[in-house]
Amino acid sequence: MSGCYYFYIVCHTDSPIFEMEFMPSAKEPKKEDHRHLIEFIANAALDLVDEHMWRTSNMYLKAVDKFNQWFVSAFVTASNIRFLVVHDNKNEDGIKNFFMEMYETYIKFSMNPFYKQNTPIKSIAFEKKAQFYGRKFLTS
Amino acid sequence: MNYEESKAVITYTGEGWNANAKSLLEAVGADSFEWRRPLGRGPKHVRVEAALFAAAEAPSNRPMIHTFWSACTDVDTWRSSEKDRVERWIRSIAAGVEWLVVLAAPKVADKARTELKQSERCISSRDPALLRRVRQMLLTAISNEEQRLGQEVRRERERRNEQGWSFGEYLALQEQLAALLGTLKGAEDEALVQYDELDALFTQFVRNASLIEPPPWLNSFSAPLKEWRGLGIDSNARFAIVNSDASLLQLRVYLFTRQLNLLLKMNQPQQSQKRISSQIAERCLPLLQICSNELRILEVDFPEGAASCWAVQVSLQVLHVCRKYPDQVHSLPAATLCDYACQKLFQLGELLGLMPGGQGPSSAQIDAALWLGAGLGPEPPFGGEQLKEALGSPAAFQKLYLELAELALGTFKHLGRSRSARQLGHQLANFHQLRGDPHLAAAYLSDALTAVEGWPTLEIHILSQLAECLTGEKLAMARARLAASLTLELEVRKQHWHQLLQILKTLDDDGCVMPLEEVFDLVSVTPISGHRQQAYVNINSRLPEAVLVNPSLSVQTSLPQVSRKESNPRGRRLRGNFSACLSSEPIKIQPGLNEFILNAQGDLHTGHLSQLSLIMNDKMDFVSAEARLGIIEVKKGETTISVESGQLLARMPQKFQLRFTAGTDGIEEGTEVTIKAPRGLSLGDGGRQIVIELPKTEQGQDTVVTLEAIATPPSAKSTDIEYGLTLTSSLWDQAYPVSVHFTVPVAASVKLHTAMKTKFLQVVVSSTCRQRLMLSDPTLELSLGTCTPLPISSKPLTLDPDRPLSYIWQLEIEGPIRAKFNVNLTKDEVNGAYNCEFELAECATMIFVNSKVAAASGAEVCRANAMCHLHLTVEASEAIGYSLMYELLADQSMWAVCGRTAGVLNLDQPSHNLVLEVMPLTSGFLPHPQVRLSKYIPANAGSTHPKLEPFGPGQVYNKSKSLQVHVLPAIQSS
Repeated sequence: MSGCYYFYIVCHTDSPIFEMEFMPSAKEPKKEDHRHLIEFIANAALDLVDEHMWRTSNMYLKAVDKFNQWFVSAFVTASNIRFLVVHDNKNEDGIKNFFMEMYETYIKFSMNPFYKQNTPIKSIAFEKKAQFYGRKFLTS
Repeated sequence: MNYEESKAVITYTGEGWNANAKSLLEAVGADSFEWRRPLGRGPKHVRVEAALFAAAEAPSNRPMIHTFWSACTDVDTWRSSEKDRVERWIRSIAAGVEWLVVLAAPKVADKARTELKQSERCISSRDPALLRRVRQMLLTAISNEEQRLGQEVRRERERRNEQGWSFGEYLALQEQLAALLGTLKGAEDEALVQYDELDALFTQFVRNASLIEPPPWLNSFSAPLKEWRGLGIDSNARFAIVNSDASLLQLRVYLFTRQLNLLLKMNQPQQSQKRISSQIAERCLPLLQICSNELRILEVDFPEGAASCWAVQVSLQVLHVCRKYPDQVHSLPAATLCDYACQKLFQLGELLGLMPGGQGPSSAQIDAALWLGAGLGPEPPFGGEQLKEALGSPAAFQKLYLELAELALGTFKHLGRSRSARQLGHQLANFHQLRGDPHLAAAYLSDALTAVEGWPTLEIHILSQLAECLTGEKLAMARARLAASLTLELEVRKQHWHQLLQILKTLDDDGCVMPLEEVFDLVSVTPISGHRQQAYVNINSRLPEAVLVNPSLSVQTSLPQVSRKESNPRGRRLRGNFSACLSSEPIKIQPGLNEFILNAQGDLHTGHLSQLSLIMNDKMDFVSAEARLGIIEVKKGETTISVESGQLLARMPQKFQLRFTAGTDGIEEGTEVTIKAPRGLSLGDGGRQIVIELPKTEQGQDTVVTLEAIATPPSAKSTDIEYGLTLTSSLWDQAYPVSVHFTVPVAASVKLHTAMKTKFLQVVVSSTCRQRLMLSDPTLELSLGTCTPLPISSKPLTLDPDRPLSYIWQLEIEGPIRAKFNVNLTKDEVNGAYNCEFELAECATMIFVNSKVAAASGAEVCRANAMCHLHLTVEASEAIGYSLMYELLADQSMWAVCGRTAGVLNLDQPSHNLVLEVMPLTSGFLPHPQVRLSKYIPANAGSTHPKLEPFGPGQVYNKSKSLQVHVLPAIQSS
């Protein structure tokens, strides 16, 4: 069960506004129990993200937390939106690139005057982009 | 090993030793001293304390210096006996060991220095440099020892993978080094490094043990645990460790206790206190986690709960130590440690039946508790006796648990780690729930719920728990949310749903108000304004079963008061003003998408659709957030009219419809409507005004009236003409204007053709309406003269939109005339007529022109670039009373006119012959140069310049208009 990535965008009120799973293409997606654990890990890492982001001037915080085999990597945008990836193998550069591309995508998306900040992102174009970058940088 | 034992040693010999000397040497450790170290390490300020021993009693294997205290005060005695004694003493000292001779009198000391040739090692006891000299020597001794031990440690470490190497022995060696460094006040961190190295080395060994065959010495650490003592130095434990006979926990505890002691030593006020003391708790948590991991890797056997017990014990001890530093007990590491201890304690409590709410521990559990308590060993040195107590009684256990949890919770909150605090709160809620305090549990859970908002599985997990702690209204709301949660299985949701229905029965009549979006998604609201106000509502139900609800949609008729912008806490939805609303009979909402229609009941209102409310079982009110869902208006409409027609053609009887849409009041039976048409449009049977009667029409219904009209536009200039009808009736206060558009179907144009003296008139008829028409019976009326239609079929002709038709007449006319063209139109068996008038100017042929191009004299054919003659003949059909001007208009790319290009002819004779010189520029069949003739009116008294007047069309007939001349290529001159 390695090579899985769970991507979350967490808004200012700590709610996830976008989530996506990236599985290696050969693997079957796992069931719900897994999801609960991943959400738990991601949510619990928020404290550490908040702590880490003051220690560096970089937006990419690398791995901020670890729980059993799971790592939590984080990225904080200029407007304090947090990107989290829960993953089970090391891929620092891939995740960094993924975050950078998603940051770009998110900025473009948030420019849309019809998008209200801190509300869930419901956009097929955004999902496609995320999927594309996930395949390119994470699961490939 | 005690640190006291490892102090550096100063031995003393000789009669000079006395209480003074002793107190003098004891001051050695009073002051710090710069310690320059080899191997590029930075200097350190250290204090050296030393133990004093008589030479005979001095322990070996310790860094030491020897002192000889001479009581001799005069030089003679020194010479006679004392010098020999001292020399003997010096010889007895092993090489490499530092020594010092202290002499009672300065002059003896001077003497000794010169005679023994050891100026550095002889000193007077009164010399102020004595202490400094002693310290220096001690440091040198220690440095030497450190280097020796360091080398030995490194050598041993290199051997660590060899057979027969033992961690215990290595530990004993490195501990010596640590102990040595520990004697230097100010170099404890160096000693700590030694233990850290030991720690790291061991950790690495265990980690490797899961990958490769572990060395034999590691096996002893895999032995089953018999005791799980907390922190504390146990000399037996050290002995066991050195002999590779200790348990894993013993080793870990031993190492950590050493580290802890060193940290505490370093934690002197003059040190950077905060940094060091924070390490205590910070180091503890990894230790506990690593240990529990190592127990697993080494497959150590131990009674259930022993590891937790040990972890709690160590945590308690460390926290106890931290308590001495007020800033530390509220630090993040301490809180995290506390949190960890809480979790372990919780596990223990569950294991041993100590949790509240149960029947208390069973006898087996009591046995287990006693067993675990015994494993903790005797009274621990750092506090932590609470655990033993807690294992013995549920009350003490619960007290301890709450104490720890609240300390951690408070610290987390204080440090701003809100999510950690809420997670712990979540656990605490479980505890309170067991304790039978659902209120407190609910408070913690509600708090935890806010932290996971938007995380579906976490939210539902906590919510399910929360539902167990709530009653009444809040419980109903929680159940409704759970029943509507798509994360849960359908069966579970159904259970929640049935429980909700049960709860609703017990609720009092006030019921509860719940946010609509927790259960339903409001997809769309479409208001229909008008005399019948309606709203189409589309909602998606997430409930597992169908539900009967009373729907209503409030209409906000006035602007909301700005000042009353109240904060709406989560879960508290307020029902707005529903005095004006759209509603309907109870409807059944199925799971999934539903559409229903709400109607205005009673009065109509104009305003914003604001809130949707669905009331279930008269108790539970699902209310959407106040928003502007759309505008609904009251329209008191008049009867309106629209024109329905295809393309209407002018000059033909046409039919069109007027659609009357009844307004709010409807149309009475027999209402009269007078329709007036403007000039050029006749209605019905030819008048410009008609009156129609309308049948009874309900509001919103339509009545269609068909009218027939003929438009006769005044001129044929525009093809599209708009006519405004005016309708007057009791239905409207003023006249109601309606406009109708007509298109002229065809357009005609004329062309005059001439053949010598004969004239023909061609009338071209084209369609302008893009429709196919039948044309028949064309006639041409002339104001003067006669015309004969050229024989064509008298059958009607079809006029297609893209294909004009032509009619031709031969004319016999004199002078200018007016012609009127008539033709009948038929379309779809409707007949009409088209006519138009033309003016024809004078057109009788007066002059004939004939031209011919021939080669110049001598040549037979025309050649390019060779001169040719243009023979021009101008004949008048009858004598005309003015001169003619001729102009040669040659295409300059083909012809070059060489001589005259223009001239005046006086037509006093019927025919003129002219020869003009032209030169063809290219070869081929060239059209003749054109000749233009104009009337020439010479200058006279009226005007100073002669005037030219052009002839009308057809007056000049050019016989050779389309002739061409064959020009051969030029002859190449050789």
